Amino acid sequence: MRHYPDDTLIEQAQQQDNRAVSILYQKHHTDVFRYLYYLTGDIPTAEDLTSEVFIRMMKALPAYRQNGKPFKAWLIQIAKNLSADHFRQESRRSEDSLPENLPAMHETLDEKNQNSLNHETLQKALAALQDAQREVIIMRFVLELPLQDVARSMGKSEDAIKGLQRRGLLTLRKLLTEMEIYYD
Amino acid sequence: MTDQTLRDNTLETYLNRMESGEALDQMRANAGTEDPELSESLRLAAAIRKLEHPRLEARANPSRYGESGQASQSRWRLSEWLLRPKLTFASLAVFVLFLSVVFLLTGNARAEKAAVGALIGTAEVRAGGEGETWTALRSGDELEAGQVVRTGASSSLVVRFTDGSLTSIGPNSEISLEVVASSGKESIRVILFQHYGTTAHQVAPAYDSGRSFIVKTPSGSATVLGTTFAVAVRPDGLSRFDVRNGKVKVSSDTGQVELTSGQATTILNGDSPEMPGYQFNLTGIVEEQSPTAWVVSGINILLNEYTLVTGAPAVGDSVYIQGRILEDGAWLADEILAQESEPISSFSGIVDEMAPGQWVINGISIFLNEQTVTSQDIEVGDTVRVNFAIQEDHTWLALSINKLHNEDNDDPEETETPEPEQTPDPEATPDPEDEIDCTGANPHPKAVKLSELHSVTVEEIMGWFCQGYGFGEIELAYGLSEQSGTPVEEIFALREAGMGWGNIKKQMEEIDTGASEESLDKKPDKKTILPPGLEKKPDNPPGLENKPEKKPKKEK
Repeated sequence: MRHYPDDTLIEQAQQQDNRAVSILYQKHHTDVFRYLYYLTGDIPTAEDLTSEVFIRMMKALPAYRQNGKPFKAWLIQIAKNLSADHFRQESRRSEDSLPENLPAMHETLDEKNQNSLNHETLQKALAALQDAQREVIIMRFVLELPLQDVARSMGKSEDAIKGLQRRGLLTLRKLLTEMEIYYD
Repeated sequence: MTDQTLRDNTLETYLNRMESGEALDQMRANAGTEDPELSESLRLAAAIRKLEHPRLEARANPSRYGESGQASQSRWRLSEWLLRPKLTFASLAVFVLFLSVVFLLTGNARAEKAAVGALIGTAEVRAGGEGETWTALRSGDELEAGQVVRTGASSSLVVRFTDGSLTSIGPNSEISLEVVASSGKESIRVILFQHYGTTAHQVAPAYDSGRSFIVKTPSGSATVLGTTFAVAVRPDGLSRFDVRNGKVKVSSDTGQVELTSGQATTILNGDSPEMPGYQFNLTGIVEEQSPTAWVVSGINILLNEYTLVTGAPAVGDSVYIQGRILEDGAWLADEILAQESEPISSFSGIVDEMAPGQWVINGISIFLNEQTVTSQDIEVGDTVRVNFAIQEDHTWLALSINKLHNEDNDDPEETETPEPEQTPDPEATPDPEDEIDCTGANPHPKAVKLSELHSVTVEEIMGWFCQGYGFGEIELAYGLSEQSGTPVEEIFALREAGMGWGNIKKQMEEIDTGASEESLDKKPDKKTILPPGLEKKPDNPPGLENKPEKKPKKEK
């Protein structure tokens, strides 16, 4: 696919060029989905929320102004807000329903994957991090966004993001060790 | 540049080199000589980047939602996604696995209930969702995770957890109970989010792994390891954490400090916690005022731009000041209230000198007489809390000096995640005599009299005295406890959360009729007539409406 810069695509999309909208979607939907997957831990939920992100993108696009913030950061912010709404709704669910009816873990996990770092074990470990640390880890190392973009997306200084990523990696390492999950 | 900042920058430098294609092994070898932690962090970062992360390939995308570009509701078909060969798990299995790991990480946690203890005035509860309605709380009601509790003006309540820990919620406050669970046989896991207002916590010591007690605020969080501490969240976004006994880690997104007994810190949104300082509570008369410093009963008190002054006190007025002693010995006010208050002041610090009749604590001379009660084993270098009264000649007379205890069982490299500890018998209630021993060789005669009157030990009475309560207050609390059936520690907890004794007394005397069921909502229930002052939930709690004027930073 030929590379189109986001600002050009945004201008065209704002003029109701459906092809530009389609390219924006193709460029960014994977990262948005992965961001939501690692936040929610549930693929169908991440799917639903991803589509909602782009629905909201289309509604908000006519009034969108870049203002120095990367377009992806804007999409990530929409995704973050949607996931927060999702968790608020889900918080009504009683904790009593959580662990007592679970099948034994070893009966559902693929033996080969049980102790290795993969997207599932990573997601489980990330779930135990503080919110800000988890977000930084996802954006820096899953989505591979530059530090500057992560800082703008989260509304924090670059120094703050550096601190979060170092402490996040440290905590994540300890969690993975406790979970006996290994990586190369 | 702090060591932490240096490490942050070094990691980022190596990450940039990794992103530009430099060989990981060589980088790790170089990094390992600087810092083993750095090498391992690089290894993990590289491993995450190498992972095959899930992909989403949709059947449709928004550009097909109509000529006008108007999006319609659309969802990816789950069945199609489930048939994708790249994933080997059904969505239900993934969800179950997710729950399994939550279960695993929380150590087989199961939901627990907390109980509403003493309640004064009006308090309400709702489920977590914004659209849920508020219902009145009563003493004895159960609370659980996911609920939100709020109090009205002149209201307060105590929440009791299954391990005996107590949380007092002060007037005009709101907290969410994010997690209330037991982990293992005897330990408990509690996470509270304090939206605004004041709380005080008496957390039972933990003796097994899995126990944690965390209070989060919009600007930071405190991880508790068995202590008595308080949290205040102001409308201007500043959170204050102070510790009576024990150790608390306070963290924000950008930094972390550890508070030991007697210390306090503040965090403003987006900032790191302030350096811990020994805390003080001072009641006195304003003698001089300037924008950056006041003199209160002969004591120089500094003010900065974050000092909250309420009630517009003037020279000659009585004020209550809560603040911290800075590293240079200056007394900085966090909050100044114009009010009549108890004549007892207090501060914490390190014992510098001990001479008969006069000690020096944190560089401050303080006099002792035959009525002064002290812990039996205080030595130079110990951390103590001093309750004192300011005499007419501005000298300070110690009423009690009690030794504060810290718990030294933490890994200094520990992160914000609490480390495992032991937990006591969950039926046990924290007993002041277990924490503070300040009876002295000759118990105070008033304490002896009260102990006989209320059939408790002298040590128990002295325990409350050494926490800063006068004998009149102690007598009142025990009397109210016997009258209402409310445990005496809950009555003190209400006081700790900021309730005046008048209100506590009035409510305890009416305890048989139950708490008010009037709503705190703006629109009253049809069957409820709201009392004056409760028709509208204020944006700012009473006494905190006025944001302090900007004051110049203090000059050192």
